[in-house]
Amino acid sequence: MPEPGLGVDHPLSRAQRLGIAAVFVLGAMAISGGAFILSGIYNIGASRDHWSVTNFLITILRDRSISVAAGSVPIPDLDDPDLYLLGQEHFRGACTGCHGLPGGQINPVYQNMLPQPPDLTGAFHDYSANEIFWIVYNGLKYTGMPAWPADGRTDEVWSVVAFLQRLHLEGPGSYALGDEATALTNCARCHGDEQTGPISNLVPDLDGLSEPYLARALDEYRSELRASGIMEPLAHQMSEAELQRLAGYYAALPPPQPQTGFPAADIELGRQIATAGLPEQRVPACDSCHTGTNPQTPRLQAQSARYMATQLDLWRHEGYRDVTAQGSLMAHAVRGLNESQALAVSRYYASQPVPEAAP
Amino acid sequence: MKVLLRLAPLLLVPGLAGCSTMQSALHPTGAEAERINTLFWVMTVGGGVILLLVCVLTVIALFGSPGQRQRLAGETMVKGLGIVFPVIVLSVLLLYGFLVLRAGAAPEEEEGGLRVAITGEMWWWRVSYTDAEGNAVETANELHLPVGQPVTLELRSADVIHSFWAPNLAGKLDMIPGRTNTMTVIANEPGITRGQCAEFCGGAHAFMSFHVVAQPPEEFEAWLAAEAAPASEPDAEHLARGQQLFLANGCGGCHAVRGTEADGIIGPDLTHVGARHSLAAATLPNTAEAFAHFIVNNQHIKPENRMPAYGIFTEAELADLAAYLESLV
Repeated sequence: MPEPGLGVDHPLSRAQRLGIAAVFVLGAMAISGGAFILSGIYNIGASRDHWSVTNFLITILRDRSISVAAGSVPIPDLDDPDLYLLGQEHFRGACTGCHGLPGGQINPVYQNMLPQPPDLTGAFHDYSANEIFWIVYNGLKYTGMPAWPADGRTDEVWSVVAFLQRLHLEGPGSYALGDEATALTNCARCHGDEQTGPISNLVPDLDGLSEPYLARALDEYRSELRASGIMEPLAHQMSEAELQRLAGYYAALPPPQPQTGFPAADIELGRQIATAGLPEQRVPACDSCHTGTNPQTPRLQAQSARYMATQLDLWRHEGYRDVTAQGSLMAHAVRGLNESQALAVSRYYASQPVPEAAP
Repeated sequence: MKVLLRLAPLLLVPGLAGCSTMQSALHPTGAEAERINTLFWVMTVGGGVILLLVCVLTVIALFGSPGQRQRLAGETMVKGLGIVFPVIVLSVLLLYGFLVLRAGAAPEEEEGGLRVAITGEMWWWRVSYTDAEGNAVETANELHLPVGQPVTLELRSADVIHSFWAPNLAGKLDMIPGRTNTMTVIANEPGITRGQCAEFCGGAHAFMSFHVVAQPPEEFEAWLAAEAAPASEPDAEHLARGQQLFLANGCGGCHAVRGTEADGIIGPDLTHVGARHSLAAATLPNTAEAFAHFIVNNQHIKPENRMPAYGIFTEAELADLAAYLESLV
């Protein structure tokens, strides 16, 4: 083996010379990089746009990253009004602040963000449904776009995607300008009020539910014990007095009419589960708790079937609604239900009229 | 060496476990257990005698005079003690063992005798009596027997293999899913003894025990009549509150209390739970504190058992509920 060191008698090999040169080059890069960073000559301000080469590279990186990460997810029916009407209301409350009204000017504060939040009328023009789903669910680094507030609630994200598709197909004029925002209109634009019902079957009808239960639900959203990317931001803004007042408002409204149009087989299976349970699967009868006498256990009759089925689905998966004491009891009770049984019992209760209040 | 000799008495400590007679196969109170006990002592004493004999022969072989050792090595001794003696002793023991355990014979069944269906669940015992009129009386975790009368136990399982073992009463018999194993037991004297599940059935297997209460026949009939009756109505305000809590919080979805709307069959029948000698399959004493403890902390007491932990009650509500359950005698 040749000895290290310069000299005519013991020359360095080619590989050794390359290695020494590489060390010098890397050292120079590290020193100049360190000098650049520590000198502070880079303008980090948002007031000045990126260099064109930076913009070019960032755009390619962003779009390739989104395209690969979005992959292929099963896309639900985006023309479902239950989805896009809910998405519209969430958009109104959570997105227009930064993105502005579709077709309109965005707030001067957000105009000076880098990158500026784009007008979302063009969202479906630039990206496909699964890519938009990924962006709304995961957010984007190095921008102000946040990830979805509730980890795992992908069902809620599709409502926003459905709305954006409708916005793209029908134009910005299709976006309904809502009423002036107050504490009550913030609820009523999804849940309805004394004149109207909920805008979508994915939204529960709150009319006539017990006040302690409604207050507890809002409190759980506010404390992030109950996962929903749509309800958590709304509950966060409520003061305690507001929360009690809104719960009292909906509790005082007359209860709704039952839903119709479900297959008789589902209603029959649902009735069996509700009154007798499924002992082999260790599912107790729903009626054994949901008697109507306990204010902490909500009335199920005439509630939206699609909403109840979604909630049962959340209870069958860990971490969404099983964190609280009552929630963990429900999670235990419905663990043995499969998807079609959960749908059947939801449809049964949706089709039942609200029982007369005990005198 | 001296230390070892001083510690030698500790070897006797495990033997003290046999001093408790409540769950002991060495303290038989049932007909089959008596036969097994006799077999055990015959084999132990007989084995002990033979061990002594072998030890003596070994001592002779090691330290005896040449004449003794010669005789020991002789053909008569080898054939006699090595072939004839073992063949006779083992054959006799084998036949005796077969007779005691009635291997291959069908269990004796008396027509019209009391039948009790015991189903092993994870991790409790569902016990169902058929009374004189043919009605089923559901209870759980305790077996009552009339002294001196043969009782047929029908052993089933609702999920995995369990094994019914009341050592004072009889030997073990497995409860196999999809199959009914029948066993006839006769309690010879009144008293309370304890049994256990004897086949590993999951995490809380060690907490799946039960009590056997043998009573004189008149007492047994009175007990069965009381057990068949519906639950006693609450006669105090806090007990009525406890009953309301029981019915309003879903307890009736799994537990039955005959005489109320609670009719669940997923968990043990609680109609007369206050009268039992223990709770949670002989894991806890039967007191209001134990009820409250189990309602809130059952996942710590019996991890992974099928009842959820109820964290929704205030201290006052829990006290009322526990008092109500204790009052269900």
